[in-house]
Amino acid sequence: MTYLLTSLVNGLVFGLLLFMVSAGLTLIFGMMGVLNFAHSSLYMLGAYLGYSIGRWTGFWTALLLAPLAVALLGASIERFMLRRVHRHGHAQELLLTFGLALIIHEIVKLVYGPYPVEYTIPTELARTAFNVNGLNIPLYRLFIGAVAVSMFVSLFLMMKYTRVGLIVRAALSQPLMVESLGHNVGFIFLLVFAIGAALAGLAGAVAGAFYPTGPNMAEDLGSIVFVVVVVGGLGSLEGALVASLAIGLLTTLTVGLDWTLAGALAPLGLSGWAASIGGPFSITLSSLTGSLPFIIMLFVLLVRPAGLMGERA
Amino acid sequence: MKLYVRIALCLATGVVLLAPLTFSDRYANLAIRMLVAALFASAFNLLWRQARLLSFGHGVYFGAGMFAVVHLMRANEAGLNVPLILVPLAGALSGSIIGVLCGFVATLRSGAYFSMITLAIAELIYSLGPRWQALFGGEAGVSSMRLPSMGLSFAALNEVYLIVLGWSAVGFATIWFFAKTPLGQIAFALGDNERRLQFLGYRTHAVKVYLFALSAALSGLAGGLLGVAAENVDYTVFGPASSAAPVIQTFIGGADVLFGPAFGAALLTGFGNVFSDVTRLWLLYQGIAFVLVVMFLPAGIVGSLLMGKKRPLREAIANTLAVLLCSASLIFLCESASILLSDSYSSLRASQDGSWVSYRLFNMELAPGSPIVWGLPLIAALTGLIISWKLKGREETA
Amino acid sequence: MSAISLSAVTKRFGSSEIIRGVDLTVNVGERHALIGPNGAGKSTLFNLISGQFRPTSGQISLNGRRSDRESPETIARRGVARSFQITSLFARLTVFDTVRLGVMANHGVRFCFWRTAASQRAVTNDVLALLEDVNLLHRASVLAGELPYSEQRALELAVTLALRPEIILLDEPTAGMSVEEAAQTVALVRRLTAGRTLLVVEHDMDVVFSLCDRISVLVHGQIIATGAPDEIAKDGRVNEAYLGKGLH
Repeated sequence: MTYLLTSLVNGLVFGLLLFMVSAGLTLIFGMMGVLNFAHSSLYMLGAYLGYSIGRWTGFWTALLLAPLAVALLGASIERFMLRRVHRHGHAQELLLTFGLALIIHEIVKLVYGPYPVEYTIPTELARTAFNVNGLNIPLYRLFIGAVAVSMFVSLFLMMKYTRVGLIVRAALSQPLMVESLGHNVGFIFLLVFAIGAALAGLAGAVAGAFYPTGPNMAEDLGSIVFVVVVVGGLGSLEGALVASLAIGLLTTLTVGLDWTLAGALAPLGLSGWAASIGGPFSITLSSLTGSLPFIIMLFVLLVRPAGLMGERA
Repeated sequence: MKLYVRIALCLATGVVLLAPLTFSDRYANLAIRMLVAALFASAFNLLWRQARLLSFGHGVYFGAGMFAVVHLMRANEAGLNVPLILVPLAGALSGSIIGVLCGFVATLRSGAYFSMITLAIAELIYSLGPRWQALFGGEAGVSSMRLPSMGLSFAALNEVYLIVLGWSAVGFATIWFFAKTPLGQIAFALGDNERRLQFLGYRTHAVKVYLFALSAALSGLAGGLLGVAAENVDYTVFGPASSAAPVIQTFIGGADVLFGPAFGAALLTGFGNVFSDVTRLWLLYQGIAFVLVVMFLPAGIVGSLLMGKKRPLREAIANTLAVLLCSASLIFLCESASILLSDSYSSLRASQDGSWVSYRLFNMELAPGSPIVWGLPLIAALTGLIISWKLKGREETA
Repeated sequence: MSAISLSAVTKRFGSSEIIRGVDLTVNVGERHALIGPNGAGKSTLFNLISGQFRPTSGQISLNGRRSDRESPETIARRGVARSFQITSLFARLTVFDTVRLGVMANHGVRFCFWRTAASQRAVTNDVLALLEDVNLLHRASVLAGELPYSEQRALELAVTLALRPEIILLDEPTAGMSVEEAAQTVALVRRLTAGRTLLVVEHDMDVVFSLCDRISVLVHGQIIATGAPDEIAKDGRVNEAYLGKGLH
């Protein structure tokens, strides 16, 4: 019971974090058709900048400045690099962001070294929020969750009620139409890219203090974020939210389960035989936690290619 | 081309390709790695050049080939008598089997989705790697020994090079020939307009699976050749680095030219080998070069050379000068940063009361506080940028 | 037996119903035109027949075999070929290679990777004959994307005919052409489709009246009239649907 509760809280928080990063990615993908390989690198930069700026200004100011800096970087990537290769097609744009991810990874290693930095949570949040059955829930986990939820709410309100949100929603379903209506699509793209980058940067600045901030954090999160976008469906914020939470919960809940395929064959009386073969039959579910998102993604693609909430295939 | 020019070119190529037979292990090893990378990148590019499918997970098929070959060589040690020259075929076989399975799933979708699926498959295998001890050998990997075969000991790598050269030639010939077959033509059309092809009655999914399987088989062959040379392999071969390598090499070389990827792969593998001894920043430079090529030379190096417009000698020289100035100052700044930000430098500073002590770079004693150290490279870079900007302006007015 | 037969076919996209119960019969060997104002659903109907979309309800049969659950490639293999309104060929292929794709499909040369495409004599001969038919022989080695518009349309036609289809669906074969070019194309279509079933979507009434045996008029997703050209020209509802514009 205690185990279940911790896993639920951890999974929920991890899922919300995933959503903060994937929201920008899915919006950019849906609107511009660009699969931004460097998106999780922006998340990593958010964490490192939060750490660096925080050493001068303290945690809270850094939490504001780091996402702004990342947004600025995102905007310049869109304006000065992506727009340049746009006429060569989406594949060229994808390659460009792929190259940027490589460069950011190397620069981070150059500046901060190959090991994680000591980015720690501020003392006022380094407490236990509450205690259930002798189990401590750290306040900071709740803080991550709160930031993500408030971000989702403001993003939702912006999409629903502002003019920019209206255009973004229109562009998601009918990109050509919006352009022909005379809206400055270039500027909207820039804005969406900057906002998406800011969200990833914010996620990094918040999460980096809790999880390790190292040069591999972009790579580790990046592929899971792709999974979220595919499972949730192209350009769908709601889909990304559902997929993020589902994958966050699943990966944390399975950590403690040592089920095996051999065990699953027990009712058929085959478990001894399967265990003797070993290999895939004796891998425990808990050790598959890292692989689970990808298995889910392949399954979703086979059963429902457009994703959970995607309309277009 | 005149006949004697052709003959001279063929002879030169032959000499370059056969020279490693006389090399010591270090350079024979480098030659093997260049050929393997060239074959791997060309195999990867089968998918992109023909069908416009961009795979970010080809390390899986390369790794499958490597593991298959190393396991086969272990079986050879245990008494199975497969001649070494046939061993790399096991790589092609396992590559094609895994390729059919993964390709079937991945080619259900096109575009960015295809890229993401191939990436996810690679991540899946990579995350399973350390868990499946019997097959992948855990952290330590799997090792084996080459056994003497057909009168050759195969103890030295220049003998192995002969096998690598032979099978690479078969691989390249396959790629060249495939483009001329009906299936190759259909795959080409598929990259242009899949929908239209369906209305001609072609089952495009099947075409993509065939193409994927061929690409994976040749990747597996490349992996198998490296397996024969390296004699051991661990699961990190499935990691992101091996899948990224053919992408970078292909597009730097030139993806739409038949042997552009091979050129890019040989070039970068060669440079990488030389420079990674000199600098820790080789991967950074490679990344920057990749982004610059994607932005400014979308046809890649070979592609741009082949279709490049003739420009006056003066402009060509000015252009080269600009590129040299910019890259020299970039390298200087990066290398300086790498030293000044290192742990050893900060402990040196701490021992000198925190003063900015001088550092050594390119046989020069440099003072970090001096304006010349930073000013000179900046001026050089600026000059380079101005030259290329002027050149571009002239091009547009012309 | 009819070549194309649709009964009570509907197609919805989300909440909007584009095709609202169409019954249509095209006889074997007939040249049939589908006309109607913009947005009437002509292209959607074409896409339904050729298998690009599946109908929401209703049945489609081609040569007596039910086809509305089949994939485009299966329908193509049953001898139904279509051309496209927006010329969409293969940008990296030459004119010769483009037509060869169609001819190879017709000869059943598909997953062949053990010999070169150029070595197949029968295929090459057919390609040359077709190129001669559409007057593109002198353009054989030009990239398809570099042809002028009217020649791209001719190439589109050649690829469609390369399948030697029993049923041909042409989507606006003369769109964007001058009067002269349109007349040439009509002559070409008439000559090359002799003895086959033809369903053509067309805006140009001169083309429709000179080419076709029967005409169906599609308005708001429903067929409001079918008949011989002179009957249609006299039909009051048709004239009304065209907002009082005469058909001539």
